[in-house]
Amino acid sequence: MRLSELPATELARRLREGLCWRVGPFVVRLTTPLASVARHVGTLYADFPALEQADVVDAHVSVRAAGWTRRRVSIYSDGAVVYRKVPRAQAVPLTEWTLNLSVFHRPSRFLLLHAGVVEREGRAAIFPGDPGAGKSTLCAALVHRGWRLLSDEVAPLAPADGRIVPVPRPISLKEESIEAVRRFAPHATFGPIWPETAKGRLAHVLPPRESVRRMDEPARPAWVIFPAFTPGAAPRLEPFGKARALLYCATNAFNYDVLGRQGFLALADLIDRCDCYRLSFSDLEQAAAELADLWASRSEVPGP
Amino acid sequence: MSLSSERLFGCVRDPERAAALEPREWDGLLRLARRCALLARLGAQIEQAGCMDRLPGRVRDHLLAMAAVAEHHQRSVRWEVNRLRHALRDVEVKIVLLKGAAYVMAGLPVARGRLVSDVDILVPRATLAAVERALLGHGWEPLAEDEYDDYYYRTWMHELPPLRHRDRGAAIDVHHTILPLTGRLHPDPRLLLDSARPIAGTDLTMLAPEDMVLHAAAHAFQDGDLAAGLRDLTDLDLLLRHFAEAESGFWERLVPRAERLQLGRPLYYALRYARRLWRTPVPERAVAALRRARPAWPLGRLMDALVARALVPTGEEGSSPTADLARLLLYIRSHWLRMPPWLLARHLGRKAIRRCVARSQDA
Repeated sequence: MRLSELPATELARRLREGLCWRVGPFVVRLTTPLASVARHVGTLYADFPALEQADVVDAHVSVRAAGWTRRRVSIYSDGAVVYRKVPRAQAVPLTEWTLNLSVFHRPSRFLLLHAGVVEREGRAAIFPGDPGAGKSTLCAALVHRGWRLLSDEVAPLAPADGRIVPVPRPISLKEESIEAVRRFAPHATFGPIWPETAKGRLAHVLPPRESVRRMDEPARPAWVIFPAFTPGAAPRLEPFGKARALLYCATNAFNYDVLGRQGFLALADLIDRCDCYRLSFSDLEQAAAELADLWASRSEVPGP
Repeated sequence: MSLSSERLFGCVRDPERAAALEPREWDGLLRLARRCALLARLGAQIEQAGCMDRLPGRVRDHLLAMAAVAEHHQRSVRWEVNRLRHALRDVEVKIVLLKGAAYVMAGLPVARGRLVSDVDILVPRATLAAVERALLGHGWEPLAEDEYDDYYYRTWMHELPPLRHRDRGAAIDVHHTILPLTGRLHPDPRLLLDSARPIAGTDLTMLAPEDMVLHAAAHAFQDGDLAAGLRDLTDLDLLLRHFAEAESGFWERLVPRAERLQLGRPLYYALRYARRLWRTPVPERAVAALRRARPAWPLGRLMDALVARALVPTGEEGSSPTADLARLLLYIRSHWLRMPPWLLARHLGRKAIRRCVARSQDA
């Protein structure tokens, strides 16, 4: 059953008792009495499968009223406090952030690259980048032009087969990129705008239904593309040195050092197999066109 | 004790039990083990018993991912020890590795699934200045916040102010004895240094088996508030089991050594709670020999009550009023044991003033 099939009252009831759903290989369980969080879940996780009962939950997150006036909230992950008595208005963005942390910032058998990933007909494009480079914005745009969303923030690379495992969560956009994506994809579904988060103004975009439906299909990476949002720049796709690409991905991955030799081998293999580019852009239409051209110029049939 | 915690202790003691669990029983267990910092140890015990393949796939993923973290810690510790030896190569000093670093370098069974964040070493007090100078010359920097912290460590503590390497971020604690100078118990560090043993394949040393156990006991029950109590107690359990088997006459030497080092009481507690939680086999004659180190019964009863409540997280958010109270009392106890009341008052006063000043500067 999809979360969208639950009536609002039923969703709220289940959330009070702890609602489990699956995002790719990860099972999360969220417990909260807060209506704002329930609305967020109902909208932005609409297409995700609700689980009646989950054997092993990867992250238990709970959001509860706190403070003696109950006007604040505390957020817990696996019983340990993550945010203590923060203003209620921050509950949704911080819950979303806690879900992120609970799943990605913990020991993993995947090499967790700090990157967005989209895929089209079996070929994935990985967008590593520092905050502000435009990886989420680019992902949000491309998934409304025929690409499938795998992730906008973290790319789990399976060392065993070199494929990226999808974790299509709501895409979080900051500041001007909210309007840029709205103009680019007027049909995209947005959650409310959260004006004052620690990261500034923030809004979430609903991942396309097709991406959620296919979240159990890993994809083989074909390109590693470093986005560089540069105001006023004409779009430019230029080759990027593989050695630099490897170093950059290693430094920015969440658990490269933890995986040791296995992490190095998995990453070296990824960079070997992918074409690496840097994409400077300011306009999303032009960036999407560049990537469509790149996709059209693909050389060979991808491996299984 | 809750069902989950009983299950956790049972599975660490007897990994065969873990293989027989239903998938849904695992959920609470994984969470609790993570909260108690025992997930890596649980995984290592299961791996050691050869039961890993019989676990549900998703459970195995969690355990293997955590095993990779423990491996990473140990790899880092080996490298830190390598750098430490390099930095101290011109200093005439015998380095005794303590705790996790010693377990890892000596390859003791207790190293399996042991997370190690810092390197702790013991050196003769007379060499402290030379050791510190050498470390500062090789990229380690003091972590101390201000002059008072520095003064606090140098005057009252059993170690130098902690140092952190500016590039690698790894911390090192340089000890000259194993308990604070201001505390009630004063184990003679010369005894510890004189009995230290070489670590095979290195030019480093570690404490003798009895001393290693006594240090772990002192650390858990004399110097700390048991915040990592379950972890410390499984270390003790594994150390005791290993040495009882590998060292002939271990138990006969342990209690007299404890008395010689003034560590009878911490050892008493260590054995008592290791037996309770981990069913560590302790010979009756050792228990009997420690009778003199027992606390008076009201104190003993109180300690039992506090330890039982503080060690095991309870409730959804891991706290309950009784657990919080027990933790607070153990925290107060740790300070009480650490320094005499007048000094404690002065220390806490200093800290409070500093906090107020910091707050008014922020505002």
